[in-house]
Amino acid sequence: MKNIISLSAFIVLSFIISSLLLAQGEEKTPKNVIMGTVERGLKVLKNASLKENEDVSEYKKKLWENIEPIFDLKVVSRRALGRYWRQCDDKQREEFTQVFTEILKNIYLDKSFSYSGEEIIFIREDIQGNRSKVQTEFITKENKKISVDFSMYKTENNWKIYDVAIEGVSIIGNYRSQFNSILNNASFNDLIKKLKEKKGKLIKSEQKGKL
Amino acid sequence: MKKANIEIIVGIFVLLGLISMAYVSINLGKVDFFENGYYPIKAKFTSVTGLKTNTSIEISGVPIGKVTDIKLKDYQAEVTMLIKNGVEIQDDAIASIRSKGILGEKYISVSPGASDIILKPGDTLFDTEPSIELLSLIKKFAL
Repeated sequence: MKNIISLSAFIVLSFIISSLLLAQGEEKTPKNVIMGTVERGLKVLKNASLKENEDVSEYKKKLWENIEPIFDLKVVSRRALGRYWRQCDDKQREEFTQVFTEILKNIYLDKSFSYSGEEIIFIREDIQGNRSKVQTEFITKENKKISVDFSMYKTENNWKIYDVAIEGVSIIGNYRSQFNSILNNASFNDLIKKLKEKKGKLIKSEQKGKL
Repeated sequence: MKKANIEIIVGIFVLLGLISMAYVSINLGKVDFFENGYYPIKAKFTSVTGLKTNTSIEISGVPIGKVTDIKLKDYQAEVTMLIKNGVEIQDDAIASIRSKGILGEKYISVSPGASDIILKPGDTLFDTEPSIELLSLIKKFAL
């Protein structure tokens, strides 16, 4: 009897430990971070697409809550600014991160709501030290395959995205070359002014869309 | 004695001639036997279509090195690049394969990053952009 009790206790304990390890493992690989977030994000978008003519701002908030934790927006901003980041003081860096994040949020969250049932499949994951590249493919309704690669780095207990490349073209690389060409001939304050103007335009067009 | 002297002088002239010929051909052929003044770094690309060895590597259009080796590793292209000593490549720099004009030759453009970590000889540059095939892009997005 004693044996049976200890055996069952052992089985239960090992089950708990293995499920805990599995849950931890699921959180920790770059593939799981990406595919888990994609799954949660698509759920929000599918719910939003069911309710036409409704205000999507609530869904936008929900989507952002799901996406934001897996992006390191400070690293994204630092990489986008490139070598000019080193010339900025803390206050300028903070201001840039804030404006740039708002722009990214407005551009890409809005675009997400044009989702119309595209499929997203995992291709491969390449880990080199504390960096990783997760390759995925978006399959459109017309069956066209678009490669989307996520570049990630390891933080203390998770993986975070710092760049996304569509068909091999890095979004951060693209912003970096644009910002660098502006900063070659203009000051940092001019860049911030331009970014704020852009942000204003984006918000205006969003409000027009609502009306 | 005199004859021997003339032979030595002729020998020296021939030797000098050979040295100058070797110097001219090495310089014109851009042969660098010892790769002095350069350090190697690697970069992995998903595609290097059109990229050849000896292709130049540039920052802001200024040559800073060249490609010395391209090989297949884990079904991806691993490119070895020699970078001029004194040119620092940050660990968040991006290496992109670009073309000179629409049909022009390929080269690697490096966009400097903001990181404090500088790549050491033998390190790998993680962030890369592969060569873009214009036709396949047009097929996907325009048609």
